[in-house]
Amino acid sequence: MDELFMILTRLLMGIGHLALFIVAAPLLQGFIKKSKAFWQMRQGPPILQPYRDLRKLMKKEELISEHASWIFLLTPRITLAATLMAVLVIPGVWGWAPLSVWGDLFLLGASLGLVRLFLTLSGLEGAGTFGGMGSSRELFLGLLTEPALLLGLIVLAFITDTTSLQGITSGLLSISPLYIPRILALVALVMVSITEMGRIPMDNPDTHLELTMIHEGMLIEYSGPSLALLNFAEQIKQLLLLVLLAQIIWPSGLISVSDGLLGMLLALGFAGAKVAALGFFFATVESLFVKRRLFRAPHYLATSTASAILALISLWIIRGQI
Amino acid sequence: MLSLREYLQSYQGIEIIIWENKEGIVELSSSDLPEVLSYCLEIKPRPIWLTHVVNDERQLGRGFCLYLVLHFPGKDFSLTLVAKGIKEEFPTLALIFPALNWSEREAQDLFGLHAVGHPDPRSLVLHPGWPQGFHPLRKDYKAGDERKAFDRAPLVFPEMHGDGIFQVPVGPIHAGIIEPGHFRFYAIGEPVLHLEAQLFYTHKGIEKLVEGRSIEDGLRIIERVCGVCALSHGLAYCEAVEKLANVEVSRPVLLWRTILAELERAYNHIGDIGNMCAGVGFALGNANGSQSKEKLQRLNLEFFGHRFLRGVVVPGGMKLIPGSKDSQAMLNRLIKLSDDFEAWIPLLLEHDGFRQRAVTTGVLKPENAIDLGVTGPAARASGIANDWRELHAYLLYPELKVTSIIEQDGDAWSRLMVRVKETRESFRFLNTLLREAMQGPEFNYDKPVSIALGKVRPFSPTWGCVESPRGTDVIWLMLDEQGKIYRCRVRSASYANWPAVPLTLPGNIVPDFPLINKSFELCYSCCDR
Repeated sequence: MDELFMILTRLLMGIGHLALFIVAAPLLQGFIKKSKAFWQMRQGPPILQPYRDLRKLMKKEELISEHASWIFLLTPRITLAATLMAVLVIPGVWGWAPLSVWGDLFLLGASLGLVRLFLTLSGLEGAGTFGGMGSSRELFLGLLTEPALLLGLIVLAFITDTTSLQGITSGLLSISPLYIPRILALVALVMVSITEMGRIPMDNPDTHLELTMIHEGMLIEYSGPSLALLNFAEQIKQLLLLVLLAQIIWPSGLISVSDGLLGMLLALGFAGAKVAALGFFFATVESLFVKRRLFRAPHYLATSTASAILALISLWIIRGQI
Repeated sequence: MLSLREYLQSYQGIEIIIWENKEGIVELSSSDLPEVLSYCLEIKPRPIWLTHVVNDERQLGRGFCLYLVLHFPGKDFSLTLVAKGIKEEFPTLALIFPALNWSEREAQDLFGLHAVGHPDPRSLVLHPGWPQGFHPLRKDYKAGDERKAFDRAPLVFPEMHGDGIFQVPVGPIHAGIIEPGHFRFYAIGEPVLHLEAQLFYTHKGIEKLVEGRSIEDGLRIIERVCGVCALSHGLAYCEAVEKLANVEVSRPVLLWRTILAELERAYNHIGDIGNMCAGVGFALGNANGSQSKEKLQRLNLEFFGHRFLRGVVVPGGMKLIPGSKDSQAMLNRLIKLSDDFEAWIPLLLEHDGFRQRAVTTGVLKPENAIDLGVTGPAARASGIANDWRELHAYLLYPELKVTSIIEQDGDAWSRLMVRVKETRESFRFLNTLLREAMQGPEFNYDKPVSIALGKVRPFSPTWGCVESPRGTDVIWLMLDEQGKIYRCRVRSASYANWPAVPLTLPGNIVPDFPLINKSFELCYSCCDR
């Protein structure tokens, strides 16, 4: 009986974890747009606009190119599913992740990789040139971001002696924020996150300039509910990256029911504030920087990889071993 | 070397009709055109083309006529070469002077004349689908039912073959709120090999529309050829009319026309600078540019009743002239706006990322600019000093001692810098001019200085020319004996510059095109007409 109760609570908590991410993802998007509008001296769309946009798209008719195959229809579903899979390993508001086992750092990398694989394939589906250009650019950037992302996380794993993301964030509680390998790994992860979120200086999420699109280029053939799913998956990915970054920068540790309702609500507010601060930070970066010339992207991404490698080396030097 | 006049006098078969201080008109046979043009192009400093007009004068017993207006900088002398009695064909000049490429193709489309030896005789203005023998600018063609004859057909583009070469079609409908134009990139991966631009989607037949209209109606239409250089078009048109009627306008009118022209330049340049930021995704620069432009346009609305400054300039004068109090208010506002501009422009000019995108991007070589007769900031960024305000004495510009602002590199950054510096100059000129306006006498509102149209010379070619924000706008005008428009040709700066854009692209990558295009910031409407 006790065991069943345990399983049920864990299941409920897992569903709650997912639900929180699902509900909050469009809100973060709205907040980032509002922050950008602030820098541009505009009023900007209401903060709840992303929800309305999703609802609108869900109701709309979907047009599918006659050249498209089953991959085209499958991609939005797989993208959303894989992104939610990644959410399960991210330590959430209360520092707890539904899946917290050995190696789930790689689960994160693999989920994001799966999303990338299907998105690039579906970019080619419509037989249009924009999709193809978007896919080729996405792979070009993906080739450079993935090593930095994994290496950065692996350094953190070495620091805390675990490859579970939940373990990493709670382990970081006892590490000084000024610990050199931690800072370097963080720099790498922040730079990679910008690319993964498709933001300036790598990509431009607001662009109407077809010729410069990367992420939007791959989505150009999508409409209606499929587009809604893809946009939604992108918003969730953005939120999970920011939550992960927030937990790495300032881990809040594990908070359980024993801290009481007030403690849990405080943790929720604290996590919200951290994510909002990061969102504002990225909105500021996006307003102040220009999009880089595509062929300069390797310089930027090489910096993040170099930072991750330096983190590894400095850790080696400090500890004398890995 | 003989002087131009001596050369023309000694040439068999050339008749000098008018030879005044600033202007000359000579008649010659169309077969002599290539040789005479070659001679003219050898003269230093090299002449620039103002306009190339074909006119159907068969009713007057002169056949088709070809007018080519050249301007000789330094001497401020303009020469109109007139070839009369063309029946079906004329020798092409595009091989000698590539700037005339489009004009000759346009003549082939709209008049059904044949440019013999033209290197690229594809149709330009008329898209595939128009019936054979549809030549709307011939006088015997009555407009009205042409829509029914149009049978849509696919556009034809050159083929390009090779390993890994693919075509990227873009437009004519774009994702942003811009005008229609189809661009076809031929690329290997990201680097562009070639660009074909298919324009003239917004060809409205304006030159046919104004034929037979009164001068006032013509002005209303010409001012609406496009929404970016509305004042310049109107002003050039008024200058042409005034030249035909031999009207001298008073100094206050000249003063206020100069102020208007500079106001138009300032708001356009600032808007274009902001737009360049949008081309690289620099939201902050774009927001600042849009804001300053909006403030300037509101100033236009407040003091002149129109955001694009339409309907203020009329032939012979101005519809309204603000008094000294308004001038004072305008000056105060402009000083504030100029300070505001100086406050945000360093944001752009000192932005490493922005520089990295714009420097060496989309280089227009000076020789290409000269060959294609490029005008405006695009030419000046390639080191060609051809500011019409400096070349030609009109309005109050000689007093302001305008000098062409040039940059040497010809890239997107140079085009930006030319605009920035010209904006500063415009604010400086506005300051000087408005100070004079403040001291001037009070004028009555709504009392246009009207023009006595009885003495307008019929069937005589003339032109008006204004430096618009995008370059030199030329309106060529001929009136009939009732003072109605017989033929009006609009050669806008965008029309002169569009052929140069595809040349700047090879060697750049596809994602740089938006920036390059925005650094030219050409108008489709007044190019297509």
